[in-house]
Amino acid sequence: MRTGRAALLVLLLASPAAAGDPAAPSPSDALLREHLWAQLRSLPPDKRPKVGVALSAGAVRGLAHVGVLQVLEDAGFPVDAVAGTSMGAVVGSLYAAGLDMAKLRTLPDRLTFSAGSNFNAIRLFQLFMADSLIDTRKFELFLKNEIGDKRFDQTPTPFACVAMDLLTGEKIIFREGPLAPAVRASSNLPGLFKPVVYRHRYLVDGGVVDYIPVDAVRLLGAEWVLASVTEGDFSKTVPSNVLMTLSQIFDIRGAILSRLQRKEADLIIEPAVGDVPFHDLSRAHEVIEKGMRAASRKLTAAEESLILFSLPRLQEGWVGKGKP
Amino acid sequence: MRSPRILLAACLLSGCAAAGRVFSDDALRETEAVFAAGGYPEVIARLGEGGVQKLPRRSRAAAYHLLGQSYLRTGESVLALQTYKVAEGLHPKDLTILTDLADLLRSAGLADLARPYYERVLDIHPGNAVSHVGLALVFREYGNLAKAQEHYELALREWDRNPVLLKGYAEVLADRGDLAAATRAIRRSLDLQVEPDALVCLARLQRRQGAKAESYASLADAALREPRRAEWALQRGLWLLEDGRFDEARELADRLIELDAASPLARWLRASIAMRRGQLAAAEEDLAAAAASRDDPFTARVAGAMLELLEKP
Repeated sequence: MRTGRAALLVLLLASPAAAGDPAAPSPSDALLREHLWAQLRSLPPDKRPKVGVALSAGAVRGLAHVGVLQVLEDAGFPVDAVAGTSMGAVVGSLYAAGLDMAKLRTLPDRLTFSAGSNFNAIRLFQLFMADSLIDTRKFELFLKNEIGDKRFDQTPTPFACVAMDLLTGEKIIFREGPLAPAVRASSNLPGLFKPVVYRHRYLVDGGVVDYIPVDAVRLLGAEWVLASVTEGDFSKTVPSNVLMTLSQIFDIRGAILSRLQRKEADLIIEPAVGDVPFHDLSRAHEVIEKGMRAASRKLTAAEESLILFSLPRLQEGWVGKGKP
Repeated sequence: MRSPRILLAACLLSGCAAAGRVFSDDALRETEAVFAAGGYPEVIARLGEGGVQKLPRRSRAAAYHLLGQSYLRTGESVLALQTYKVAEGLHPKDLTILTDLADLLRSAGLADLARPYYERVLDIHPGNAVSHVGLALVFREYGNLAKAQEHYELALREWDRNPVLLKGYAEVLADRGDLAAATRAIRRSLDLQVEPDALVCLARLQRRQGAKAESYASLADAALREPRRAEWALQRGLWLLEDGRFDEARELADRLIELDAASPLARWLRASIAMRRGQLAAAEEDLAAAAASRDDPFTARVAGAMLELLEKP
């Protein structure tokens, strides 16, 4: 109890309000940002930098991307292209296909392991006793129920997702063809789910080769990339079974890849979801809220970064345009 | 043997009474009057250092509230927090104590810690307006505008004539893009109390809806009521620039620079006008001055980047 109180006091003393909030932007900065943001938003899409959003892998943690996208949409932040890996592919495909944000927020209510696969107690028993992997064909039906039988070229926002070929180790970036099998392949956890056989390839979750698909969104033409990263904090968990061990190895691999890929993004939003186990759907709404909070905190920085990136194009339109 | 024991008991009882004299409820009423008159140090002197414990049990929660508020108003936020934490332990269902503690935590930037207290209050009293306002602010900070709007609306059921609450509600509606409803809310706020920040909020809403003349008028009204706020003059300058009214914008920028030669945004404004007129040397001079600012880092970065672009062959 005493330690708790002491920690509370330390927090209070260290809080922005107690210190006069040095992080709060000056009124001048806020006015200029608002002015330039309005200028940027008024440019036709082909006259401003193309904005891409890369959504990382992360299983249930990846639902935080819903919160991130919600904040971006509320703020009128342009999103010209989206790429996702694993859960990032699921959320990204639904968003890119035009699913209403209110419906996207309720995704956890419909997205269960049994909704997307033939997962049940018997299958789980089979998985351990007879090495029989779980089939995820149902997941394609789930996606079709959400957004219809769409193809990549039919999404209002250009979209790409990443999977890995289990036979070659190649990274496969999907940008064409039907959406559902590609997204299913991208989110197909190896070791638990059967590989997706598609176009003569054996495809599994892309998180093993491309945790934050910045490269995929750049392939869609994005010039400025915001990455939403939902890494797991593996340092605090001692896995107690096969699945947890597998998930931990995934998280470690993801963290290694992420170190490099973060540098390729222009801005990172990192929801504080590291402690959420990969399968814990009971925390899904909390995870979405954490996505919102992280995005909300970074929104000013994101706007400023995009404004600075866009300045050459903005300034081009100003010089000499107001001669008397 | 018996009489010394009785003597001892009598001594102990008299000692207790002397050391811990129990005040009546009147003592609390007197202290409330002192608080209302702004005598916060005196309230602290009366109730601090165990003073609350001398009051009857039924008065203690109210006394902790007074003590915590007095600490807050004398700038002792850590002591206020300690007071409320003790009070919350002793009176875990007292709505005032819980909301005091939650408000203090939230205003200190600790929304995560504040939220459970507001929620606990709503478990006890679902319509509690203070907690709905608190949660509206917490969710606004979280970026969850839908939930913020919901809590503002629940608070307004009880406090529909609170201008500050109506202004916050209008801002959330504006952020959610419901400009018509936001305008109605801010007008209701202004009907109850004409406050310069609310006028600026109205001005921005009017501009977003294309009513430019009205927005300039509302902004001017705000500036008239609080002439020291230079940012509103700068806001006007930026709007003039956006609207292509360069002569007026330039005149305003000159005046602002006369008042404060180091104002980076006024310099940036003047540079932007010069740039549009092809007067690049003048623009460079103002941009260089703006880029040197340390108080307005974003303005400085923008000015620096623009200067670099101008200097490129």
